[in-house]
Amino acid sequence: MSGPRLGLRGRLAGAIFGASAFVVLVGGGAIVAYEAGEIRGEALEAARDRIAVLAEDIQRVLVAGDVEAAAYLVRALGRAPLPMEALRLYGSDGEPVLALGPRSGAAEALPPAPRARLHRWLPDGRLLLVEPVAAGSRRLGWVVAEVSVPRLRQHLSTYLGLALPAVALLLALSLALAWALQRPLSAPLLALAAAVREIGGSRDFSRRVRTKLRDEVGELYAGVNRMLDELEAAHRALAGREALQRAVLDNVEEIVYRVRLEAGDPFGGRVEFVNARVEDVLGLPPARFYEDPGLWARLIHPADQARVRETTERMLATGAGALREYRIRDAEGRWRWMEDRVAAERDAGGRLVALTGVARDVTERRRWSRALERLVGVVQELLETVQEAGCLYPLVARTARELVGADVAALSRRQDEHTCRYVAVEGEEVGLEPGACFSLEQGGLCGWVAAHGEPVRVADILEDARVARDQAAALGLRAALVVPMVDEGRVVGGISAFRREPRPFSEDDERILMLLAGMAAITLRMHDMLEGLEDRVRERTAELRALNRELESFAYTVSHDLRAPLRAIDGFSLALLEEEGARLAEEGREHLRRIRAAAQRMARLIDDLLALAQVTRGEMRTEEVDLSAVAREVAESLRRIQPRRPVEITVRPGALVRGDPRLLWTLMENLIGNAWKFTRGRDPARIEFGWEERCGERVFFVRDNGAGFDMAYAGKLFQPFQRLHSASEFEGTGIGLATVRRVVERHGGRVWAEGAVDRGATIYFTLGPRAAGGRARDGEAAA
Amino acid sequence: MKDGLRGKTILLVEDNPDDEALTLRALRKNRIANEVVVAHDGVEALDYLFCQGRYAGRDPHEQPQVVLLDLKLPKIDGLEVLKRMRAEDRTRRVPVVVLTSSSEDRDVVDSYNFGANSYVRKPVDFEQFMEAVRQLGMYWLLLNEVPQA
Repeated sequence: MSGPRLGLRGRLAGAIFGASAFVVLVGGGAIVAYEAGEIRGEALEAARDRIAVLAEDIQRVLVAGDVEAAAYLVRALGRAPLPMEALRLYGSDGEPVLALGPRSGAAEALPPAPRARLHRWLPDGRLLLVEPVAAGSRRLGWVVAEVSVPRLRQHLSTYLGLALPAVALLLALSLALAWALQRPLSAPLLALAAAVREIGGSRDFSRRVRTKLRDEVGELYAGVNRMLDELEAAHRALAGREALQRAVLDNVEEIVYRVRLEAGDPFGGRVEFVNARVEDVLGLPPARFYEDPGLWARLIHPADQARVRETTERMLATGAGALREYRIRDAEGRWRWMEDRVAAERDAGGRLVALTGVARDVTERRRWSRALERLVGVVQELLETVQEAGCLYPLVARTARELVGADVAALSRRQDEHTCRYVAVEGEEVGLEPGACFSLEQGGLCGWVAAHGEPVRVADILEDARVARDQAAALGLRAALVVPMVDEGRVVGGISAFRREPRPFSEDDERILMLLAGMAAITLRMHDMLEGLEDRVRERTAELRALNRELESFAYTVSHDLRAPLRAIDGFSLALLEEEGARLAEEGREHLRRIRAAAQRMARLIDDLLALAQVTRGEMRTEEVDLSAVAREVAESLRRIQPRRPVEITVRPGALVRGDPRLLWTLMENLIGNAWKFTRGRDPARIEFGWEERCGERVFFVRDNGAGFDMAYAGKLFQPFQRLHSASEFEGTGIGLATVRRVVERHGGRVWAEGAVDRGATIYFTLGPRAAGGRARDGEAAA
Repeated sequence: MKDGLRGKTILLVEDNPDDEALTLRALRKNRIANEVVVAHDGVEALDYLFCQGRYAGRDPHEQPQVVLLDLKLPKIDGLEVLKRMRAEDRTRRVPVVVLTSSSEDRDVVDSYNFGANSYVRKPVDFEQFMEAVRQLGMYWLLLNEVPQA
């Protein structure tokens, strides 16, 4: 678009016109030149002819030597159709002989002495001729003449006078022609240019250019249309993207902004963009931020400033995006929590150029998450206080008060069909007292909620028809939120929250309080159930205790009173034997011995029964016990009693368990005692105490190579008074293994036996998860 | 030895006549010739020890060498007798051997807590009982010097 504004039309016309003008001028010039040449040739011929004639005359004159005559001749010649302007005559030696004519100056251009024929056209159109004068073969001299050719000038001026208008006419014609010729060429192009210009201006890429031409211009049109197709498509796509972007930016919950940074400072810069959301969130229109670039930073809570700065700097150092959380003041002066995700944008050189941020108002979310956190904590506290109504009720009311920011909060419980009772009131001193009853029909808001089972939010209870005005005014409470406590579809009470000013509770407050009410309802049910349960447990415990006491005194009586007769039987039998033995027959003495043996066995039976009872009823004491050490001691005491028996006892050391030391002693005493007893007669007798790990559980065993037993009767082994051997084979009461089983069971373990007749026996036992010394994992041990 | 065993009384507190006879027989068989006074319940035992009731005329300075005390007694039980003995200056230092059928831990513990000097469980096997009495006699009648009240 720069340069001389010579349009396409002008250039085309100029070219056509230039071409025709060139042809006209060159043709005209050529014609004129040709005509001039012709005229000159004719003039030269005529001049030569005259001079030749003249030369003959002159020769005669010269021969005659009559100079006067010669001069005359010359003058005559000068007036002839070819007028001689001047005439000089040179002798054969080159010396001038005669000069005639006014304008003899022309001879100056000639050599001083003519030597050959020549002719020359002078600038003023005259002809200078040098012709020889000869008489026969003898050269007499030279004639130099200046001849004016008036016809040539005449001719030329006539010619020019005719040619110039003609040329001018031709030029004018060619100009007109050029203009006419360029039109069909330039018009489609100009139309195209105009159309393109117009499309460019209107940005209406849907328009198309049209032509009937099928030549290159037609192709140009087609090309332009193709280009327009692409442009249109691109434009449409771009418009779509823009619309999408706009729609997104206008409708997202977040504030989206972009700050162009100056001099790489992440905290200084120009707000390039901020979406309209900012006004919804902060109450400040985007324009405020464009006008005042530092506004956003200034609105951040002073306590959060340093943290924001630090987070941003760390982000810039690592190149990652950053999540900044801070409070910001809105137009009404309230603090809103923002969660601001910001990303840095750098140029090709890595220099920081802009920050793009998406900031979300998380105030509500934070509030909820805090409330939920509190509620989760409350669950724990509720469970801890579930047994104590004195703690539980105030906890619910206190939590309600904290959660919704109330001045006073109260918990009420349904008494019967028609009344509720406040069980806890927390907060500032008002007329509300725990223990106060209200009816569902006339109990104001709380009664209404209890009756309808729906929550109620009131900005000012003085304005509410359900509330007795004078009563409410006396309490000095204004805003109220009351939610029902519903358990299994029944309203079991309510939680009420009040404020002294008519600042209403929010919908979120209501939802939070409903959550608490739900939790409280379940806890209260648990509380009631537990209370009933506790009463029952107390009753049962008392019964059991009484029963236990009875059993104890019974056992005491048995131990004391049953033994005395036995002692008498034994004692007097012996006395009889000693004092009267000599008088008795051997059979009689044998009878007395049997009486004594029976009495003694019964005494053992009583002792064993008492031991069994002891094992069953005594209190459990739990401490660490080394079963290996117990086994060794029991074995040693047995060895002391029967030192001569060949018994090999193997005890694997390190069986540390947790359990009652006395009971475990009884256990080992019975097991090793049994093994000792049933290996009588073996040489050597072998007794082994050890353990193996089975399914993560520690299984102890006592193994012997004694009499063993038939596995068919393995089930009977651990029942009291069940014996697999006759008393004559092995003495015993049949209570030892029953005692073993009681001990093991009291430790939460199991006991079983393996063996075969005459091939020894192995008694296995576990001591349960508690007693396993922490080595077995609980889950497996319990399984 | 015979001389040493004579003179001082033994107070046997026993309600069961069988046990009484057997105990006396055991003492005799062990050649313990001390005078044995038998009280058949707690009241009688205390009467003897504190010289009251039936024993009001008894010399209070004459205290038995040893008291063999059953626990389960009519009227006042053995532990109560023991407690009252230990509460009285006159009887505080008299050795008491608890001689009983009971092997309840509680009885053993209570006996020692109330100041019993020995605790013997009466075995059913009379031979074992004899052995126990013999050992008791050796200790409390021969070896042990009772401080005079």
